[in-house]
Amino acid sequence: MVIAIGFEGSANKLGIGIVHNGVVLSNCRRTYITPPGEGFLPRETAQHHRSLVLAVLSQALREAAVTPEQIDVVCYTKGPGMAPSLQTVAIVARTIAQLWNKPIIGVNHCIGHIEMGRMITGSDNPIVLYVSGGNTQVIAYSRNRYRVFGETIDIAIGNCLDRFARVLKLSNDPSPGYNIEQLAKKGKKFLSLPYVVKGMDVSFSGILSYIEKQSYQLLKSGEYAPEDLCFSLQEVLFAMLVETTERAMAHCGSQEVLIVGGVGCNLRLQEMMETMCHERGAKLFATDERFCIDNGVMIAQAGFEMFRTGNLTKWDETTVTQRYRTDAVEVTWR
Amino acid sequence: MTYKIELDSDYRKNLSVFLIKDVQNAAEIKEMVVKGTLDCCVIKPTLIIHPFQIAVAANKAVISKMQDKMTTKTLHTEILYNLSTSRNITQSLMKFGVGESDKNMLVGVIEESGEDRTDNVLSHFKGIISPIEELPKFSDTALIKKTYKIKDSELAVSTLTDSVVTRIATRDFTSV
Amino acid sequence: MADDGRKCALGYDFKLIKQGAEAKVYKGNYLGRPTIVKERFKKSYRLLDLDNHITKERIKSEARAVLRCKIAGIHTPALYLVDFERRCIYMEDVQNSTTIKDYITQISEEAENEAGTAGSLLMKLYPIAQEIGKVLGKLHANNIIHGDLTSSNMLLVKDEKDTLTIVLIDFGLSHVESSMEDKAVDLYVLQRALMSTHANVDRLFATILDAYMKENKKESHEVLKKFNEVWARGRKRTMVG
Repeated sequence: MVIAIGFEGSANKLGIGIVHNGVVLSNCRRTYITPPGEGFLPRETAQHHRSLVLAVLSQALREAAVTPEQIDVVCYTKGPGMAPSLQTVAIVARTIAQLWNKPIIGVNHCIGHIEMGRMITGSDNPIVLYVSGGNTQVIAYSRNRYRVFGETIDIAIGNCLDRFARVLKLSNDPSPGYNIEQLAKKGKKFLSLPYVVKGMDVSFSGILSYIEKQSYQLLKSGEYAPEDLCFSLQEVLFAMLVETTERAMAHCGSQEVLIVGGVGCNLRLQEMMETMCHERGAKLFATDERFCIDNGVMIAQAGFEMFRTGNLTKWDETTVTQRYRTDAVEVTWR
Repeated sequence: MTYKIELDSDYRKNLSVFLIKDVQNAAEIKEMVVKGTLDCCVIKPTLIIHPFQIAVAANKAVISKMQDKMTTKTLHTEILYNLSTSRNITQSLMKFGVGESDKNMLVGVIEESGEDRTDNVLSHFKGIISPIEELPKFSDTALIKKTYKIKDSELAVSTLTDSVVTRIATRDFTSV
Repeated sequence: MADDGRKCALGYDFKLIKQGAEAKVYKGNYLGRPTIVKERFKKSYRLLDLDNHITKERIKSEARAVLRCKIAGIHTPALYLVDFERRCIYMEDVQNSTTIKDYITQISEEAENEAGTAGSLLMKLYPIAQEIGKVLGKLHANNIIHGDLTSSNMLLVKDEKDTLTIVLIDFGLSHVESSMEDKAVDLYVLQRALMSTHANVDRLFATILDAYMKENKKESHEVLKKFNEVWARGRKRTMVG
């Protein structure tokens, strides 16, 4: 009976979670929120994490009613992500692993999302759409790897949405994407935007620069309201994602879709994906904001899978890395 | 012997194509077709490589008519227009349609399923009905290649018929 | 209506043989010829205007690309009808053909049964790799970007003399482009598609690329350079969040 603790800090979310054989014992998170119109920078993000990590750790242990002795394995995000914030969190993980004399496992952030999604939803072998501020990938499991079928060839969808939120000077609380979603619900007028799908891949930078350029004029003239722009942007971006996911499903013959990552919380995206799935007779699996958004539990869960198949990380490899491909990890647990 | 095929089955129509040579009354035929008293399409065989070419053009015409999207006035002028690479109707009709002094012609008759009026139509022609297999004697391959702008390098990967019908199918939105 | 039935000829005279992400593919006889009908269905998850617009553009791109390929000396199916209202393309059903995907799978299985090495698999696939590279070289030399190169979008036709013919299909994402970037991305998409579908085929792509270079001599240097850039970009993307 393995109890795993997971530490996540690759971007602006600091998460520590504890999981016991597929049951979530605690899931604590703090988000570094910047003022409207500003994105989060590496140094300040790391400082934010550093200032809160010990408090969050205590909270996680307390809520799980678990002592350090009872922990079996310490898991942390090895990458990908922002180096300073990854480093901050990794140092704490390494330290407590040594203090408590526990094995340590460096986990790939994307795989954390996937394993968390699989565990929470019970989906078997889905096509995974991983969409967040830093990632946009369509992933399918094959021959011991999570293979990237399609991805963005430039920026991630979350990044695209976040940057547009900055143009509109939306609040970053709780997240820029959430606020775009709320505005979009009230949008009525559709603005035609470039729709860019290249094979299995998508490209967002063109749409972003287009809407960034046009929005000032469109809003000023009163032709479109911010709600309309948010609505249009979502409709086009999400349609592109649903299309590429569907292509991967057709190519692999899969009847399951799992959406993970922060943008996966978006109800409109879930709705569109559900419609597509319904038309194909496929099933959609999605999680809510507790697990969609970066969290520590997902690291613990993925770490647990690696642990039980003997996949420990050697001490001199307990580093962090900004770039860490999803398909670089050998999946020993499936 | 005769070329008869079913067109798009949404509409239950058949197309029959006949080859008639040594026609003596071309002017009369032309007048009847223009007036509408002779319900058929009359085509110059020099520009036709295979009756399938007419089938594709006729099929497109029938569907356009049913979707209420014809460019020309009648089904038969629509067939001639469809055979052409040009979007100029008059030019197309002149190029593919038959003139007063033409001796050889292809006749296309579109019938409802179950209808049988080809004999009636053919009876108006003062000429010799020949087996459709003789069409190659009248097709001008060089002219067809020139008209449809088909180079020999294309014929290494496609039959002339396939190249022609592909152009017919895409004429409305491609310029070759 | 039922799964493959819309109320039109497609439901009755044609048999649904494949349902891809974007289209249903039917097989039957049309105008006296074996025909494939590709019907792009409505995507209700998209706004109607967006859906109609994308569908129409894709149909046009596909049809144009098929013709352009013929003109460029590349095998593609003949087209019999393009119907925007029905959202369908009626095209030649290429006889005696199998997809490259099925062919590779079949050869891979044979190689496994013979207890061959990865090398012997490559040897068996060498001839088609050459042909594929040549066809793609010609494609790009004529500035046609396929846009969705996968092993399912290439047909192999073998005749009695064992001559291999590659027929390209599925041009919905195609466009005309002379940029090295787009050509490199076209090849990159193929590489990834091959890797994600077939095992032990890394060197297959290298062979294809080699043959491509020989055919598209004029641009081979530039395209290769761009290809490496695109490849590196994929490997090195910073993924934050």
